[in-house]
Formats: sequence, structure tokens, C-alpha cells
Amino acid sequence: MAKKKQFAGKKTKLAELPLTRVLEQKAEDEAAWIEHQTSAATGARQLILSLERTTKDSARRLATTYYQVLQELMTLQADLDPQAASLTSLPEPLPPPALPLPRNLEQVLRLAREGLQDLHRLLSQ
Amino acid sequence: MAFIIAVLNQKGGTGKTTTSINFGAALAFQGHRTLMVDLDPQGHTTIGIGLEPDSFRETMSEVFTVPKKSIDDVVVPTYIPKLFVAPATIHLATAAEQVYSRVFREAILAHALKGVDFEFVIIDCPPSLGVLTTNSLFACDFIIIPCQISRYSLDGLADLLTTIETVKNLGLEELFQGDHFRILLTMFDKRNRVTNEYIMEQLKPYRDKTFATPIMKNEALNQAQIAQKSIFDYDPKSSGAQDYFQMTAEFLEIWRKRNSLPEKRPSLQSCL
Repeated sequence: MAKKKQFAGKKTKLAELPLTRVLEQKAEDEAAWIEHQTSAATGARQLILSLERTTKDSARRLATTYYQVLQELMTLQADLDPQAASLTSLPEPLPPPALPLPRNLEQVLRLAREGLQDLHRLLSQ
Repeated sequence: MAFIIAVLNQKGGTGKTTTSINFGAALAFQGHRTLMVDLDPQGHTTIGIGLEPDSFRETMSEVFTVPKKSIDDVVVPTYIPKLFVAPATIHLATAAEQVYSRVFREAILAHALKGVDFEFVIIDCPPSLGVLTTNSLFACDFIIIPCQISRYSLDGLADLLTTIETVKNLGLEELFQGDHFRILLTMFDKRNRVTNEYIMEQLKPYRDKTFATPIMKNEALNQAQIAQKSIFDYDPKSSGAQDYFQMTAEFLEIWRKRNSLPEKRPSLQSCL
């Protein structure tokens, strides 16, 4: 039998102490409270940032988020290198009520990736 | 008013004396006038700081047997400036037996420490839960529990926490919420992975009550005992010196917070 498995069920006096139980309960309550606060704090935290796992509604929010990221990147790029920024143009914003077409999402993602690469290059110069 | 710390664990060999000496030395090196009270009849704190217990006319035995005896009468300086010791001899064991018949026997040490001119008093307790330990629990403001990484240490810790709760007359919530104690992991050996994992899991509910700095197993700490010096004098570059310095810094943070004092983080080099 593995050495560690032989520890199973072996309780110390400390584990049975009322103070230990109070502390464990306190830790559980705190963890539950933090989890509740985190999930209640913002709907954005519930956004699934993976295209494969998106539902109809979250795909739209995902695309909008990427679009906003891209806009921020373009602004940064314009600050750092105005000439390069003028050569790149953003696609039209995705219409909010409709589910984005996969090719639009791909285009936004590709531009975001290129934007990040450009930014990295500019910052490391 | 002195802040009194009991270094306590009824289990033997957990590093109480090593902790008392090096913690006391670390406080003194940082400019704090510190008294170490040797409450162990083995007199190892006295010996460990380079003194000969039998060379003193009066020791902690007299504090316990002579009514209204102040600890100031037995305090002697050590070779470290600002560090003093109230020495103990084997006679303290007999003295402890004699006090069993006295009224308010748990408060003898608290009375003897009243009005002493020190910033910190560190009590090195004997490895038992007898009258000497009860006296130190009664007198102290804070408890440091040196604890080895072993199953038996955890059982000992459980007994000790129950005793603290009773002597300090604290409820479970008070014992946890008030800053009354810290567990200090000693002789920590990273290589003992399986044991460490098990013990740390058991101590998980007590993580806020455990010093973030464990005292690693370190040969220099044993050698400093033989040399009868603090680790900061024997080998200031050793991991033992670094660990005890860090642990002292953690303690001072707790103490400052308790007294609403500003934060201060000196380096080991600047103190030596």
C-alpha cells in the first residue's frame, strides 16, 4: 500500500479540537462569502472567453469585448506610431442585436493579434 | 510597561530555548531592552547565553519561594548589550513544588514582573503544564508556540491550546480573534515532503496564527548552543540567523499593530 494512503482516517487531537472546528467553519464561511461576492459583483465575470464554449448571447458579448480591446490597441498604436496606425482600419462594429458572423469574429481576432504584435514590437524598440 | 511573551510548549525538544535566546538577541540587537526569564529548571537559557547557573546567589527559585520578591533582584546582564536574563537552576524544580500550597500561586510571576524596566520580557517555559507554565501563561501578553513538524507535536499543540483557553479564561472566539498566540514551525526540513504536506494540511485552519517564517533545520543553531552564543554572534550569515531575524520582524509587526505604532523594517546587517 502506498505510504501516503496509510494516513487516511488518521485524525490528530488538533483536528478534533473545538477551536479547529470553529476556525474551519470560519474559513468555509469566508470562502462561500467571497464566491458569492465574486459572482454577484459583475455579469462580465461570467463571460466565457472561449469561442467554442459560447452560447448565442455570450458570443455577441465576446465579440464586442474583443472589438473594444482592438479599439484600445489601435489608440495605443496611434500614440506610439501614427504612420503605421493610419494604414490599419477597423472593420465596422458588429451589429449588437445580431449574432456575429464567424468571419467577422476571425477578422477582429486577427487584427487584435496583429495589434498586440505591433505594440510589442513598438514597446521593445 | 513591558510586553511579556511566553515561549511555550509542554512537549520537549521543540526549540523553546533556542527560540528564546535568538528571539531575545534579535530584539536586543534592534535596540529593545529585553529580559529573558529562564523558567526551566534545566537552566538552558542561562547556559545558552554564556552564564553559569550555579554562580548566582539568587535565581528564579527565590522569586518563587520568597514572598513579594521582585524579579529585578535576580536579573543579570548578558554579553549582549540590552539583553538581560533572570537565571534558573535545578532548585527551581523544588521551588515549584513548594508553591503548590500558596494562595494565588498562579500569579507569583505576574507580581514579580510588575513595573520592570524592560520593553520585552521573554519567558522560556519548562516542557510541562505545571505551576511554572501556568504562571507564565497568567503573566504573559502573547504566546509563541514552537512546534516541530511531527504528529505528536500536533497532539501537544491541541493540549496546549486547551490549557491556554482555560488559564487565560478565553472563549473559543476570543482565543482566535484576539492576537494571543502564534505557532512557530521549527526544525523544518524541506526534504520531508510527505510529512510536511500532512502536517501543513492539519495546520491549515491555523495559518493566520502561524509565523510565515519557519525556522529551518540548521546545524549552525546547534553549534551556537555549544559555543553558548546567540546565532547572530556565532554565524550571522547562517539560515538560522536569517530565520530568527525574519520571525522577530514578524513579531514586531504584530506588536506595533497592537500598539498602533508605525511600521519599521530594518535589515539584519544594519542591526549587527
